[in-house]
Amino acid sequence: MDKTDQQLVTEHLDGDEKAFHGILKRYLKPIYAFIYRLTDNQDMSEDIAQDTFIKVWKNLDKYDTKYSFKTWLYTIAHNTTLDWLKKKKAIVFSSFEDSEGENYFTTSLADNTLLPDELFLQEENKKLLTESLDKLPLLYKEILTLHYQQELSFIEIAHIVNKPLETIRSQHRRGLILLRKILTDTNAPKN
Amino acid sequence: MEKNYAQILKGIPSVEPRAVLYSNILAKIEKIQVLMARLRLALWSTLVLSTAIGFGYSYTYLVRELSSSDFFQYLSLVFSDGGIAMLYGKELLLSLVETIPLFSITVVLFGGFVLLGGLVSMVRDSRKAFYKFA
Repeated sequence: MDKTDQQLVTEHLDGDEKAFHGILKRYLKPIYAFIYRLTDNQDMSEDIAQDTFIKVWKNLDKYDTKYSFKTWLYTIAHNTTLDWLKKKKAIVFSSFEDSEGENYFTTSLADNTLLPDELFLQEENKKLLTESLDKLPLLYKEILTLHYQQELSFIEIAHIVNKPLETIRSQHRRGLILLRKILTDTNAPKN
Repeated sequence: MEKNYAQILKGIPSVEPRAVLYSNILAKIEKIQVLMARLRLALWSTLVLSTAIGFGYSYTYLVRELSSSDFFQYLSLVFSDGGIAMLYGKELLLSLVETIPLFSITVVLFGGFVLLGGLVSMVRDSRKAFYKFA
């Protein structure tokens, strides 16, 4: 039977070197995928993932077992990624934001329309989806990735990005609205 | 609406890291552990050396104090004339307590424990500092 995160942490703190290997095996791929979604750069993602897990290893004795290990780990990954992006001045503002950082599409579109059915059916649209997601502002991209791909709750995401829960819910809705706009514009028949 | 998006977003292929990333992370951690062990070894070596010098001096002083006091003479009475020792037990005990160099013994014992602890830590850290992990 697989050990829980708490068991692996306890074993590591008790001196079992192999326990950290278990944590690394379990979380390396999802953490890397999350980081890559934010950076869109393989080399940078590898460096950030390396930094993240080294910070995790150094600070495991400070981890409070009352809280979810997954949330704690993603918080470190989130903070490390932002630090890297700030250092490299690589935070690119989305072309969908105005000078005040507001997204004018999300305030003007109705949000109760489903996406076109053909988007579900065509395999090649996975590339389209990935490209569309990459065009979103960093925070929307992060929330959608954490919620749908990493399967974290809004409460956990709020803790990771250190924002109020209602802000996360609202940013999530805006992210979906903008994603729909990008997808439908891209998929619209060209005249 | 959310179920619609959940289906789409979960379908986005996840990017996998290169296989070498796992071993790179472990190698970096091992490097840090070796470096920390070497730093600790350097600190312990300094402590052990200074403690050993201090221990040597305090031990020599203790031996000198013991030989100049009457402690051994009183103690030898216990073994040479047990009857007298029993008869004047209380006075003999008081004399032993008065002549024992308690402070020097405390310093030597403390120094000995620190030296022993330092040596144990040195051995442990030298293994980590100079041998690869299994």
